[in-house]
Amino acid sequence: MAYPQFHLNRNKGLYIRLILPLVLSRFYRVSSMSKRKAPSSEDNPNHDFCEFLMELAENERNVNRNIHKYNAYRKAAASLAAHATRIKSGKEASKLEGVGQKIAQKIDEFLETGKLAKLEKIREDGVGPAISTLTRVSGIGPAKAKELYDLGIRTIEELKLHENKLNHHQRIGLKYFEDFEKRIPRDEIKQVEEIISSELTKLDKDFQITICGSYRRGKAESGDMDVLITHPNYTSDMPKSKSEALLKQVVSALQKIELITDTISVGDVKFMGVCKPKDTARRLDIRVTPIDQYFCAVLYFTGSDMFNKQMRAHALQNNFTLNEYCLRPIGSTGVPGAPVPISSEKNIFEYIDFPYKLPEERN
Amino acid sequence: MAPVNLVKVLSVNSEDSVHNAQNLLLKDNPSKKWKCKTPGEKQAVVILQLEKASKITGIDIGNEFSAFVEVLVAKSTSNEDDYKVLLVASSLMSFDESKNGTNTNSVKFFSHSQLSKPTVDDSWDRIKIICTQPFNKHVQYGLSFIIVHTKAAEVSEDDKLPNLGKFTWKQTENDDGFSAGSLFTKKKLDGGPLIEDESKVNTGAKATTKNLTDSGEPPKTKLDRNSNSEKKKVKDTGSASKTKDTDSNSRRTVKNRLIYDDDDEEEPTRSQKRKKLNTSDNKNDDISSQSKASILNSEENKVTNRISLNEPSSSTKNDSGKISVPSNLPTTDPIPSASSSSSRKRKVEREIKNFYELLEDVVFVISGFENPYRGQLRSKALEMGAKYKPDWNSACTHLICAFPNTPKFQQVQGKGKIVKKEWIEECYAQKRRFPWRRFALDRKDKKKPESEDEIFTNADDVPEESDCDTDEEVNRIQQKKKKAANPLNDDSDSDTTSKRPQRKRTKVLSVYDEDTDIDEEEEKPIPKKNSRDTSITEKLPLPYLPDFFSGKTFYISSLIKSPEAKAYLQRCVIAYKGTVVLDLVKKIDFVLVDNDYEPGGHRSIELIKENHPDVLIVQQEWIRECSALGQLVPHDKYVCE
Repeated sequence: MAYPQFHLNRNKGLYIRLILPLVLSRFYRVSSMSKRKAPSSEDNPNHDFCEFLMELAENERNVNRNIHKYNAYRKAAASLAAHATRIKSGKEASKLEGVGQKIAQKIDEFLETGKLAKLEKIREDGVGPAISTLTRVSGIGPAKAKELYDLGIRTIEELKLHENKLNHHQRIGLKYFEDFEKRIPRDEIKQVEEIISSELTKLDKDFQITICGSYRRGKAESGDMDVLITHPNYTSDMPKSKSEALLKQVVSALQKIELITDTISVGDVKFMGVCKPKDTARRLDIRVTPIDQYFCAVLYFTGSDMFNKQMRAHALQNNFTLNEYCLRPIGSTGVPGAPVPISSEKNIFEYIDFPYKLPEERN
Repeated sequence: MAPVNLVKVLSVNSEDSVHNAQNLLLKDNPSKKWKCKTPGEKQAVVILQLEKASKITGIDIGNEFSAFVEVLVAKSTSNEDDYKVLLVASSLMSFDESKNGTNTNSVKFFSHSQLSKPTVDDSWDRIKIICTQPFNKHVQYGLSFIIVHTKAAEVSEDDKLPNLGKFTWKQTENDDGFSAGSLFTKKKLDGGPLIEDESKVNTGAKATTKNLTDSGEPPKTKLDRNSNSEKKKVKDTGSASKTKDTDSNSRRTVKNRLIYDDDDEEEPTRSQKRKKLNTSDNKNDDISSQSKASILNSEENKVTNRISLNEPSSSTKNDSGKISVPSNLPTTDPIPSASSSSSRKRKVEREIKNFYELLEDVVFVISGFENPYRGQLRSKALEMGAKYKPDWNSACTHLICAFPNTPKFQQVQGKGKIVKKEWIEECYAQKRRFPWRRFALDRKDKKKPESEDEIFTNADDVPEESDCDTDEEVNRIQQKKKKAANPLNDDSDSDTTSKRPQRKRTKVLSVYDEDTDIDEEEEKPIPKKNSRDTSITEKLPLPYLPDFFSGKTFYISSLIKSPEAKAYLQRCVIAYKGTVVLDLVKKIDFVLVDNDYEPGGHRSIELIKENHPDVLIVQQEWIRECSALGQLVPHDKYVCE
């Protein structure tokens, strides 16, 4: 996986220290997750704008590998999706956050002609769509897709003939390609949550579990399952071996009851794999977090990406830096301080003076 | 690991008129705080000048409503704004605590490992403290105190010190507490009663030395003694290697303790190991025990020195002199009247336990003390049979705590007994278990009635001694002397515990005889140092002595005629680390006069006043009062103007 190009701003130090890790971590996440993001719903009055903006975004990410343009398109799409009325002109759209001159022009063009020359060109070119198709396989990112494209592989069928070009993760992605394309109904995740909960309670009643992601945000269906686990006896000053032991314990318990069918990877803190609660295989991630980092992790993995970004920006304004591990005050010279004690997810909002939003309000 | 003095406030952006930044310079006075001027200020910044450029090894911070504190450092020689972060912005109060105004005065210890590298490895002489409280705009916030710990940079000293195998002895203020002698002393007593805190003995000895130098007598320095024991080690080659082993072991412990860290968990094992080592030494190696004993002997010399030098009659009453010290210094009994009356009542039916099981049901945790003192405190408690735990759990009973509101304090509050260090010190020194509430750190705890009785050890003879607390001062001295003789007699009855050491001591004495020491103690007739005598010394603890007269100079006026009174005053002053001067050349802070002294008309006093305009003429009662209460009493009442 290649790194996106960054245009470093003047304040290099701060940028590298504070923002770069955020962007990077986002980037990794984005590349594995967003392929299963729900398309903006049909009843949204600006649905068609969102559609083409997302297509442009995908193209920027997959073909040009410009994460900033990708984010810019996505941000504009999100604003349009949140707008309650139908946009009638580019000028009207440019009042929205994230919509600038260029996107306004594209909206005008789309309103006038019903299509977009740039998009037509991209579609004609064929690179974008092919890469987009290949990146639908779990474990294949834009870079790998480009590599495969250059080898002449354009479709999933062609890919199945060249499985030797793939690593373990990508092979599993390919094996369950159709299943992973299907979205997971809320009820099914609920069942999984109950199964995992009861299994963990059998192991140790002190385990805490939260299924994050869009499920926690109240969505009717989700792309994958993001399970976060903590234990009050595990704190961040303990060695990684502690979390490794906890994770192993959890995973083997879930393997025993045949919930987990495949393992993509398992490390100290994170398990990536496949579970089959019913007939369809589902992507399942399990993370073990120290108790003192639990709430920051829950907040982070609940998302949405856009909400997280907003919240971090707000934290910075209030002299805090927030990531998936902790909330830290920023000292007088810009050095992040020691993590503050956090007693709940809501507590994080209080620290940075950000009005509390229920998970359902974070879309 | 000594705290460095903060000498000056260089700048402060905001300070309250009462709670100003100057208060941060005051030592040991957490009631004086620094607060910003108005509620809701963005930040409160103070820059302090350190006494000298030092490597900072730790910072203790007492909070006053700040949510965060950040500490930066700089050098006065470099650019004004060139501050480097030493302690990153750290939380002192959580959001909820800030909002609700709870836990406003917590104390946090930031150890070496928590300070920023590489900044921490350099020397600095300015510190900038930045406090913020973004969560509560209605309070003035700041700090109640800051203590900056530094490495005692003594490179030259290091060179002088011997290398012991792989280990170099690192000289620090307190390493006396771990001198070879102290280990051997402890082990020799075999878990039984033992001689009190070595460091106190030595500081006492130092004070004596100081006094001697002042009085023009031939200075008998600590160095002499050290070189003697050093010599002896070389002589007893048989034991040398053994001694070295234990030494390096103990020194390693010393060194480890010097490092300001959190890994207390390892400590007990280390000291246990040390103990084990000692025990095996004792059983299997007679020669080494001899050498140990000889060192012990020299330790005792110190004790004797200190006392005899200040006791004019000691040349004729050597043995009684030794004993009278603990009894004469009323600090040994923290609450004289209470304990004396209660002990009198309970004289017959008092509970008796062995010293080493005095605190057997105690499981304790320590908070707020740093090594090496922490280690000393722990060792004492362990010797009395208590069990140590690094962190509080449901099995723990007592928290020995330096300040209120430390993290452990808050954890334990309401669950366990929180006591001051004096509880251990006093139990150890007096060989009896005092009810913990007398030493409760929390005032609330103190007020409640005591639910425990004192428990005595078999070696305890304290009840007799406390009988005369209200007697006339001169009588007291005499009585003490008499009493000092009493235990001697008691002892000859059937005290089996003292018999065992007796045998050992005979051996010791032969070593002592051979000794080439040219201490003036040599002149002391050896028969007087008979076995009984020494066993008593073992049994009698040296009291824990505070040092509140430290740095103060006293002149005992010739108007005090009674030699006993003079001697007593001198001993009290020296005991509490003051200095007694015999001539009028040096700086004098206090002149001690009779209680019925009337100002004016005494030429000698007028003369002193002329030469020392700042001198205070105080009644000798002041010293007695300080001594009786074991603390510095305001002298206003006793000043004669």
